[in-house]
Amino acid sequence: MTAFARKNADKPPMLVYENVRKRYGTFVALDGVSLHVNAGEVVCLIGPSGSGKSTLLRCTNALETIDGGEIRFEGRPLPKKDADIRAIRQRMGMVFQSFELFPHKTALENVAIGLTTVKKLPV
Amino acid sequence: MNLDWSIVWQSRGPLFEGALVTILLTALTMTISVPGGIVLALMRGSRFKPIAWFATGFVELFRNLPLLLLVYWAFYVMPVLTGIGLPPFATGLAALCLNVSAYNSETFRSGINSIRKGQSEAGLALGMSRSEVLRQIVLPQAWRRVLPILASTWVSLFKDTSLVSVIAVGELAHTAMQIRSQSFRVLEMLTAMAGIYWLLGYPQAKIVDWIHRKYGVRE
Repeated sequence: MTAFARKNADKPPMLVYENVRKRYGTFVALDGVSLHVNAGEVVCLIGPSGSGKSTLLRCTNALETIDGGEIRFEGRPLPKKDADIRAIRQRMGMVFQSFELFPHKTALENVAIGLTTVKKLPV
Repeated sequence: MNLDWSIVWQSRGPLFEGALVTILLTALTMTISVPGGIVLALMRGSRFKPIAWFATGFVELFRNLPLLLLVYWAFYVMPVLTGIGLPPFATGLAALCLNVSAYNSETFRSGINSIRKGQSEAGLALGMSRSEVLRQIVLPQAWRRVLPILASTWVSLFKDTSLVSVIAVGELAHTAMQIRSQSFRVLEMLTAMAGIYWLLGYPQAKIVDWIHRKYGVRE
């Protein structure tokens, strides 16, 4: 546990998964996942390919909708409206499996795009 | 055979003006049809189905009609149906724009669809809105992919503008045909017309080749 996590151990968890379910057609990707993640805590999800690790992260970022259960971020369920989801996403960081760098932008622009476009900070 | 090539030199003024009209028609058509194609492509991808259906209907209608028929239709039928009578140049421009917008729409749609989903998701994950993702992530990459195709469309369009000569738009083909019928110098004028089209078209084709080499996406 990190020092930051120890400091926040008595606070409510930052991220809560309650019985989260997700299926693609007949394939069940997540079958009742429950997990609490505290601020500053480092959690590793380990499992074979296709076990739902990426799906869980994509659901956390609302890139996928869940079929059942609930995901709560800072005590509140993930919102349904686009604008509200954007506000949550702006407070999360997500690194994709294939990185998804933007090939039409320079390295600096890739690093800064979140700040310049989303946070509207001057270049 | 008695050939008199002096008619070509004597007609250089009208032929030059006709060539300018051809270039103007091409440039105006593309200026209107590129944004038109983007809008239609985005409409086809709309989650609001009536908009998508309208755009699909538009594209399938104007892409599958012969351009010559469209030119005639715009000149003879459109004024009767709409009560709006446009001069030949504007009518020809409208017909070309309808046809090329439909083609450009498919070009842009394929370009947009070729950008992998992960790029949009990466933008969304940063907290961007869907329109920001489209403007900053998808369209700039799609633009680069479709640029060589648009350049090819330009070259095709440059030649296809000759079809509006049937409604008396004073572009290169119409001008050359007029001089031909007035001077009875059929062989000379048709050859001159072919020569001018080739001289103007060949550099454009070379530029397209260059664009393919420079901007073509290799994966």
